[in-house]
Amino acid sequence: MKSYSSNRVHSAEITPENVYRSRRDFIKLAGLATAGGILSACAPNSGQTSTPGTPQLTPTLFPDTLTPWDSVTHYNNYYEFTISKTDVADLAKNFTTSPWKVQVSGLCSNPQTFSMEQILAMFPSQERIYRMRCVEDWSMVIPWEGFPLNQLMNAVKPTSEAKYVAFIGTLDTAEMPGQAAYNYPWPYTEGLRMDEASHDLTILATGLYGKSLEPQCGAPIRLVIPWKYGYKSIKAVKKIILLAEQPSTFWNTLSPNNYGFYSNVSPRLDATEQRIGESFRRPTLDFNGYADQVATLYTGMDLQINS
Amino acid sequence: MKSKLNCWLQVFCYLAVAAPLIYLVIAYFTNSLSVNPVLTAEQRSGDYAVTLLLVSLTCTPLFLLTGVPVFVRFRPILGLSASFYAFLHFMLFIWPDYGFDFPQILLTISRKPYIVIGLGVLVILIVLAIISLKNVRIALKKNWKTLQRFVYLACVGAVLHYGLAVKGNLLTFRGNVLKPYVYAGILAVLLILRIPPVERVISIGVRKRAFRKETQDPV
Repeated sequence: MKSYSSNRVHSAEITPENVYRSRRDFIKLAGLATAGGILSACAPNSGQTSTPGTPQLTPTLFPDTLTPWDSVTHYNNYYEFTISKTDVADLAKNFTTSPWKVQVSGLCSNPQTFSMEQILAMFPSQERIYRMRCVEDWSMVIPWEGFPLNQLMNAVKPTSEAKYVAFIGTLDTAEMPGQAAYNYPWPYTEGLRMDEASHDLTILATGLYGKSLEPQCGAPIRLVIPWKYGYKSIKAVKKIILLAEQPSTFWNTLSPNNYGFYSNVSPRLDATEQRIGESFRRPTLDFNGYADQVATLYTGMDLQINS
Repeated sequence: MKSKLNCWLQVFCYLAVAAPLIYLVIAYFTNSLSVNPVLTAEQRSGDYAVTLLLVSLTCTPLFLLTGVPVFVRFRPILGLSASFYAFLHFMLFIWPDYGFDFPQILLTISRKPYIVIGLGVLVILIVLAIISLKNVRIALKKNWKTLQRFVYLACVGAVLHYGLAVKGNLLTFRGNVLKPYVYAGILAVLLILRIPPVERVISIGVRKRAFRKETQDPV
């Protein structure tokens, strides 16, 4: 098993702070961006030699710096606990994350139920620094620890009929007070097309900032799909089911006009976002900056219709 | 004695409408507006505006029920502060949030049509704030009262703006729609109380007061 842990990028290496400090520079950069995006070649280089094919934070016009651990763990959308992003950390702190089992079933020849211990032993964790873009127009840069979902799927051997993957979260009204609200379709559910789920950027995360995941961030195990809006990255996954048909998903069930099944970041150009810790908005990148890696998954698809 | 009480009530009322602003400023400087202070302040200021609008609508029914004139005395300051928070909400949207980037603001409006409703409400509230100036009020004569009626439209617009802005679906009652529906329910009751026949029924306090005056005042 190859490990990417040698590619750990420290925040100071990603962005020289002075580069993005002032608003004036920000505006100047924005002006130059519209003038042709020539600066993209000048994005700060982390100075690391990268293994070919190693997923890394794509260098972008506006430098990315790691969002502080405190922000990542104290501003969470986790409706199972509360709809208040700042109250989640406190409400989730006693959530039972051990023992934990993940059941993988459906159209596969080797369905299995994995304990967390088995998962951690079978799939060595790697660091993945990803942008996280919330549909609420804010974003973070997060150093996850985890492993590609395709490794877990290979272990259960999907059959050729498997076209979609459904993810089912935790249903526990005793531990998750937010689930008492009846006007949400509990438990949380998400779904991906098979090729999206098998993509190397799609990971199951078990850690954050080199430590194990905090309950408010989806402990013990959560999905992370960096090119889709944050709500696709389901927390505290209990079941993974391989299916022939597209599964229903939490937000799409709630409000189909606003939340499509695909939910790729910014299929409409020119959106902006508030990066947590910054003073002004920055442009939202197509596929959240991962277009080079994932745009081909959607060739020939109209992402306005399949939003 | 009575005037002293009124004076204290007035101080209390001014403090009450200023409290959310003081809180926002303190929270901003003590970093307790979450790690996304702009979004938080935007949402809070909008919430204050809607709440104050609804509170200002309770003044007349309370006066009619009790006959205590204090309730209508504080109606203007409640309405004006609602206008202020709505304006603050708008300013936070166009400046700290969007940095006066008007092309981007227009793009956002085109994608989120509820903002148009919010802007309409803001226009009404600003007009109402301007006509509350004494000189303008006198100049407008009877038209003033007609113009004031637009506050009902502003209230409906404000609650609708809020309901459409939250994540969820108003039609299927799913998502974060509970609070907007509570506001809508309160607004519905307050509007019903202003329908003339209903108003006559609830004017218990005012009638009593008038009766007392008639019987007590020596002519």
